[in-house]
Amino acid sequence: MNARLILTLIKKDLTLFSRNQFYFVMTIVGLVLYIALYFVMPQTLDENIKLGVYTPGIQTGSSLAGIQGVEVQPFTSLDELKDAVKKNEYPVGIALPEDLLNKIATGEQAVVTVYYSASTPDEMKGAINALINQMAYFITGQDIPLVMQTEILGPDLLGTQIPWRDRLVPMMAVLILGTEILSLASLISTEIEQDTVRALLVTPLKLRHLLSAKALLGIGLAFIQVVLFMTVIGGLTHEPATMILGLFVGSILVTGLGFLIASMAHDSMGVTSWGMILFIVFFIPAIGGMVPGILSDWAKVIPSYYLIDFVSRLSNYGATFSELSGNLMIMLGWSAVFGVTGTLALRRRYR
Amino acid sequence: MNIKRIFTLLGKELLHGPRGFILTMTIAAPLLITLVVNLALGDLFTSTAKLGVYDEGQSQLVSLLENAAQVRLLQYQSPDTLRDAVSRGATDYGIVLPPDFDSSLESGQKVALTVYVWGESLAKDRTIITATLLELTNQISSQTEPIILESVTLGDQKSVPWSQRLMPLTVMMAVFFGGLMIPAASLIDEKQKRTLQALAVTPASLPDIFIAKGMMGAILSIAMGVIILLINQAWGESPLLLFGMVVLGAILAAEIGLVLGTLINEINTLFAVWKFGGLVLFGPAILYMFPELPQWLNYIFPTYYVTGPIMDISLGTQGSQTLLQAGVAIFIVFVLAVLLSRLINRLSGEVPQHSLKEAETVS
Amino acid sequence: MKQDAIVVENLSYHYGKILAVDNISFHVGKQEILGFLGPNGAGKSTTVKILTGQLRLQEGRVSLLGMDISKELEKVQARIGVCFEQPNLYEQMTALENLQLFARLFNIKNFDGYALLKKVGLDGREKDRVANYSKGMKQRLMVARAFVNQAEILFLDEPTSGLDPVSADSIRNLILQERERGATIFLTTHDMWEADKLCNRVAFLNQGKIAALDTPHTLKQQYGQRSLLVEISHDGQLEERIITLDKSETPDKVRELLSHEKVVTVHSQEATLEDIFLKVTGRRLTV
Repeated sequence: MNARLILTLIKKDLTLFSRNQFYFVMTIVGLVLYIALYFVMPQTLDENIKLGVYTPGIQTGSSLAGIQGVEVQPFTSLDELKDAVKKNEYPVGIALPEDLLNKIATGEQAVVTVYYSASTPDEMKGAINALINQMAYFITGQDIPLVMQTEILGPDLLGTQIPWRDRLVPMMAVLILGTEILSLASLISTEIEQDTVRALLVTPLKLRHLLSAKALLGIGLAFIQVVLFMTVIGGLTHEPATMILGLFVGSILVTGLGFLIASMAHDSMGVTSWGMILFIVFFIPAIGGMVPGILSDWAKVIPSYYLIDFVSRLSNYGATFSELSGNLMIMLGWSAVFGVTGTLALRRRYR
Repeated sequence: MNIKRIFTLLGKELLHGPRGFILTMTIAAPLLITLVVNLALGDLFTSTAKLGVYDEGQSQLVSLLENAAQVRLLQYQSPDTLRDAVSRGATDYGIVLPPDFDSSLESGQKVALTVYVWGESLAKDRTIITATLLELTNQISSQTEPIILESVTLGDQKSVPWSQRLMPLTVMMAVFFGGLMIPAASLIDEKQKRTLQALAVTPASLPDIFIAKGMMGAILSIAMGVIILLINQAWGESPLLLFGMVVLGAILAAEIGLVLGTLINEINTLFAVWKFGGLVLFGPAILYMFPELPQWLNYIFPTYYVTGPIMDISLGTQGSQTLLQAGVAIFIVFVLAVLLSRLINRLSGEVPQHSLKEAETVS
Repeated sequence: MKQDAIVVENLSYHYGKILAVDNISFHVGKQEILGFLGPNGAGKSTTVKILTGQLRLQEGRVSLLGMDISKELEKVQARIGVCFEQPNLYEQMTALENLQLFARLFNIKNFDGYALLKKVGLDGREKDRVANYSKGMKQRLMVARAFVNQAEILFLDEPTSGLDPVSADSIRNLILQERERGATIFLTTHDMWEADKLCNRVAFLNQGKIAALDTPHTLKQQYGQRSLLVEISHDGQLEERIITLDKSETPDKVRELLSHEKVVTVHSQEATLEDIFLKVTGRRLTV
């Protein structure tokens, strides 16, 4: 492998990129927007149901307010409560009757009025009904027939839930890398379209040098962008070396995919259409990063799953290198499959 | 501008254009986008807690849980698969119902229940599931409820499930995705291959060419939007109005695509624009999904003036605000059309009239 | 004995079922200019692609500078230069950058791009982007690029295509200078006059086969018909008479014309390569 030839080509491509100021600006603006989106997103995850309560003469402290997952806002008048519900400031408002405790003490059924906003989903109504009944059972001291033997599976994040913006980090990293699939594919297909590849291949430069140069450039561009993003948002605080390694392997993965697309496409329109489809497929596992457990095992067929899982477990769950080394190996394997397939297809086209 | 030539060019685009690209955008992309949205976004924002059950004794609790709107019931074939599902987060809670669950409750005995809790389960979901289990087991054990609940609905909005709320957003994503990329990529491709110049020296003018490309993008993106609506049966109560807004969105997307295609000379730059442009286009969708974010940001996204009316029409809450937003969208379409005509003039090297007048004045 | 620069033996090439090159053999001596002539689809481009390594050798043997291209292609490509028919330049780079890129690929130290660009008449435009070049300028840059590595064999595919007569002439002079430098030149062209002027030998290619290969002079001798074009004045009008030379009745016809007519001009005519091509292949070289 001739390093001089490869470096010559990389320098040529960087020169071409530098001529395209619009491309540079757009790339930087894109990165800035992703970073801005991260910081604009809420830093905490609200895991409580908000309830407005009107309880004349009754202290709610020992009933509703003590229930885990419930945030209670007392109101001093029924009209204020109803107004707040109507304006959707609170999805639910509960008005406890003044004689609630007396009725319960005498064994009578008390009527509790629950105000719902018209847009409150049905599932919320059922949940509130169950909560109020639970509260009533506690107040009346009724015997609970269940003994729950609870086992928490996985780390218990109650009260310290991963905020949305951190759940989105793997998705944003994949989006940044995923777009580079298209860029790399078009780096190769443009040479083919403009026929400059033929001019290059009648010199000492061979196809392997050309593809190596494109691969190195593609990996470099993808890697730099995603590392920059992760650095700014503080995504390198836990096991930075492992994260950087994972992102590097992820960059290799998208480069391999870019090769595959370049071998399938005949022009820039082909790159766009194939690229868009593969990009969407590549993106599907990112949903699993946002909503754990949503994807079944079939999602593991998609190579980006291992990248998402890697970034998610490392940044959000404190996983270590040894726990994630399997992901790295699988990503490298897929990279090899894509890269080799694409290379062989391109070689057939050019000897 | 010649209508016949425009349709000739449009025919060329559709019949002899990049078929793979067209097929991808009209068939594969809508299906995939629908899959993505149905897979996750509905689940992402629903307030339904998930409860997994392994029932050893055909308890009536299962049928009661199936009818409980606040909990989504998932049944598993063994304790191991149930435990695995909980550990993955596929369900918030997992309970193993022993064979004698119902009989024990009916006879007034306490029942020990194995409960697996997903560590990332939200506090409210844990509470809802626990409260629901208690409520329903009390029903089975025929305990009298100490209170009667009277529900009162305030306001006149409609309660709409999340999947239905998100569908219009999905449609707009698809419409803008295709409507923007198709004309942009097509124009850049023609410029790179220099076929644009070849066309421009025929009786077909540059405006004819641009209109044909814009129409192709708009038609294909409308097709994408309609296909998604059909797959998901999400026409709502005013299908014609909804279709009208989809058409308006498609035209807006096509215009943006044409502007980009004129300004950008090579495909890599289009992809770079897409990287950040995606965020700009789908900003209203992100703001809708996260109401904690400052909602005034909506006003800066041009797509808001299409997605807003689409949301209102699909929820049946259209009003004067809807009309205003649609009016702004139409205004943006007009402004973009003017911008495009200037760009086309610049592309063809024509001198604008006011510059001619200036030249006369100077001389 | 000088070793031939190019030796081709029993070369054939199929595109699927289509036989593009049909068992051709030829050699090109060092410092020779061989013209490869033929209509579109004759197999010229395929032959050039095989010789320059763009297509894999299927049947036959090709040796350039004593090296078998199927075994030592990389070494061969370091010593050849190629000018393609269609421009394939980096349009967003300047002319100088395009040449410097290829100079680096050939590992040429102290490459003087300015001098080379001046040689092809592009001085003053070195730092302009190729996208702003005219067709003729791009063609000159293509030729310059082929000269970057001072190749021992030059493959020039329609090098003067699209050029004005003055520019085309300067390129032809450059080609001759390259030959003087010691290069062997494989030239494909449709321009018969150019082939006649430049080439030591020409090969006529038709339907994948070499129909004739020899010096232009010999081909004309062999296949051409010399004649005299005589202009006479008849009733105040100029008329032309053609007398075929080298025939037994030629002297009588010349004597008769000179005796009985008022002769204004007399010119000798040779057959053109176009005429010879038609005679040899039954087809016109150009439509």
